[in-house]
Formats: sequence, structure tokens, C-alpha cells
Amino acid sequence: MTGDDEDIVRLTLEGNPEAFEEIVHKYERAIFNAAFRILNDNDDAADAVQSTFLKAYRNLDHYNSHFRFFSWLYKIAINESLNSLRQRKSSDPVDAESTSSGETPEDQYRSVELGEKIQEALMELGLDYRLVIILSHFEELSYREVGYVLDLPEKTVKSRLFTARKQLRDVLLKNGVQP
Amino acid sequence: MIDEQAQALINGELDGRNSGLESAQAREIMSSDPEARQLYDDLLQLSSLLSRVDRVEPPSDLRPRILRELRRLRNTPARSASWWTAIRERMMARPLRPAYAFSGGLALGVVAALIIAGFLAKENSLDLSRLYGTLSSRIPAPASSPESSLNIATSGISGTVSVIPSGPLMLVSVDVRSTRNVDLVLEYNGASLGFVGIKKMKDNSDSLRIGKNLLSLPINGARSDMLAFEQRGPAVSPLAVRIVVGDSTLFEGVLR
Repeated sequence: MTGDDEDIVRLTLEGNPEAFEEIVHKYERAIFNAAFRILNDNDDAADAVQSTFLKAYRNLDHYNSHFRFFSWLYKIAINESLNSLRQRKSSDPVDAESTSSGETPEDQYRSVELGEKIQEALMELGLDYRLVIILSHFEELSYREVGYVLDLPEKTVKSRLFTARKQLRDVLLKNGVQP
Repeated sequence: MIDEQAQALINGELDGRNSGLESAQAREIMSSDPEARQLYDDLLQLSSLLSRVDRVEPPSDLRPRILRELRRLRNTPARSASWWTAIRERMMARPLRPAYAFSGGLALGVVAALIIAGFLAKENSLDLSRLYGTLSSRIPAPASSPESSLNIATSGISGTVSVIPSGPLMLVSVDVRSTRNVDLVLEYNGASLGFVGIKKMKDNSDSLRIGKNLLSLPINGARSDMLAFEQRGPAVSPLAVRIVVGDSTLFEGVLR
């Protein structure tokens, strides 16, 4: 956990609940991305993110500072996303809307197109493999943190990540994307 | 076939987590095994490709929504937690004899079961088809145009909830469409308003949940209903309208 997060959690628990809003500002985007990569739906991802922050706030006193705060937040977010996945009846097509300042329209088009193709390929992976790719590549968690978030031994994380990478490479090649 | 140890070394090399010795072992494997080398190159390119993917932007209304819910949570008194904590602290301070503790626990269990049973009895879930000829027969056609309306437009949910005065009754027209499972919740002051009945305006087969001073209409697709309330006092009572999914409120407004 970073010093900032530690301060925010302490302040919140000491009776300054407004301090927790800083956590929302800081991690909303990252948590939304993880949820979106799992759910492939903007609305469902937004709902999962909202539930994540509310649950984190309610259970802040159960947070174990042995792990970084955002690992704990990811753990809640993954559970919320998986709950959403179980509940929903059907999934909508990818709705990726990302823009980056300083890019030409052509760059932006390529970037969005690449994002969509990667997302399509991710959705073809089994959920277990999709999760390790998301946490390891997109959220840049360590093997140990991925193990904590997914309740897996570190050794399993490594072997699953290896298989997931190979599968993702194969799916991309099949879909005409050269890694 | 690449064995488990080689897999671990390739993984570590890709993620920059190998020690100097492990890195040397990985390079040795790759120089002697073309399949391992090819796989390493492919996965390295894959990592590079994934790092070029932009983050997806969250909807612009998400952060205000979360902050609003957090503020609502903060302003909700945690009464149940405090009395439970008080009992627990008192019990911890004065240890009970086992027989007293057992009797007390049993009594508490019976009381809790009765409270839960009473609560569940109030939270009935009704199939609207069962209301025909009973609650639905008391709903007249609206005699005037809507007095006030609330337009709902939020992430995949749209529609209108309107209030139409009709003699001694207050009619509430619900016409809402949603692309996912949500609940439309109407909350009212039971001292000023009493729920009389509901009439399906379209052939929606969803149910109605009735709680104390609260109605909940599940929506997935289009839903159109006319609800009737009787006014129990001269003052016009506001009606709170919320769209919820689980613990989350997606929309809230008040009809006056």
C-alpha cells in the first residue's frame, strides 16, 4: 500500500469519511478497466465499479495492510464482476471508447481498433485465463498480488499465465492480428 | 514440448523477474531449443502489443454516482450495528453462566426468528396476474393530464413516471424501458398516502414487491403500469422514485 492510501484509510477509519472519496478519484479508472475487460459491457462494468467502492467503504476496517490497498480493491472488483457475469443473461458487443490527447485521428482509430480486437480475443479465452491476463498485463500486478486477488498459489498463477499468453497469441493469430 | 521449468524461466524472462542465474538458464534453453526461442519471441511481441492498448474511459456520470452513493451511505445511521455492539460489549464485560447464556441465546433466537418472519410477511412478492379483479378493479381511467412528471434517462434506462390526480385518488403512471435487470422503487409516506392497486397497461408479466411504504417494480425490457394511491391527508405527499440494481442506485428523483 502506498503512503497516500494508508493515510486515506486511516483518516477514513478515524472518522473522516470524506477522505475515502480520494480513493474513488484515484482508482475509478483502473477498476473500471479491469471490470470492463472481464464483462465487455460499459453499463455492467460501471455497476460493478460502484458496488466495489461501496463494499470497500463498508468493509474498510477488514482491510489487511499486508497487501497493497489496490490489490484488496481489485479483489473486491473481481468478485463483483464475476457476480455480475453470473447474473446477466446476455452480453452486448464491445463498446470501447477511448481517446488519447496528442494522437492523430488515424492513430486514435488504430488504437481503438487494436483495443477492440484484443478485447474480442480476450473474450474468447476461458475466464480463468482472461483474469490472469487482465491483472498481470493490464493492471500490472505482481504474481503474488494476482495470487492474492484470485486466491491462487503463486506457482499456479505462473503456469496459468503462461498458458493464457499462448492461448491469447493463438486466438489473435486466428483473428488475423499479428502479435 | 516445453517443460514446466522452461515455462517458468520464459515467464520470468518476459516479466523481467528472473535473477541473473535464471536469466542465463533461460537464454541457454532458448539457444538450444528453437521451439522455446520462437515461443519467447511470440510472447514478447504479445506483451508489447498488450502494452499499446489504451485504457477504456469510464462513463462520465460514474464518479458522481459513486460519490453520491457514498454520501448516502455515510448519512445512513448504522443503528443495528450500534445496539448489537452495545449488547456484545455488555456481555463481554460481564461473563454469563453457561445456563443463563444458553437460555438467553435461545430467547434471542426465537425473538429474531419472529422478527424475520414478520419482516418477510410484509415483503410480499406478488404476481400481477393475481391482482386482476381485486386491486386492479379500483383503478379508474385518469380524469386529467399529468400534474408532474419525472423523466428518467440513465445508462440503458429511459422513460417517465408521472402523477395524475383523479378525484380522491392519486394515479402514478410508470412507463419505463430498461436494457437490463433493474428495479423501479417508489417510496412514500404511509401517513399521507396508501397504496390501492395496480393495473398493467401493457402485457408485462413482471411482479410487484410490496414493502412498508415502498413498492418495487422489476424491469427488464419495457414496463407500463398505472398505480393508484389514496390520499390520507390534505397535504400533497412527495413520492420518491429510484432505479436500483442490487445495492446501487442508478437514478433518483422526487415527484411532488
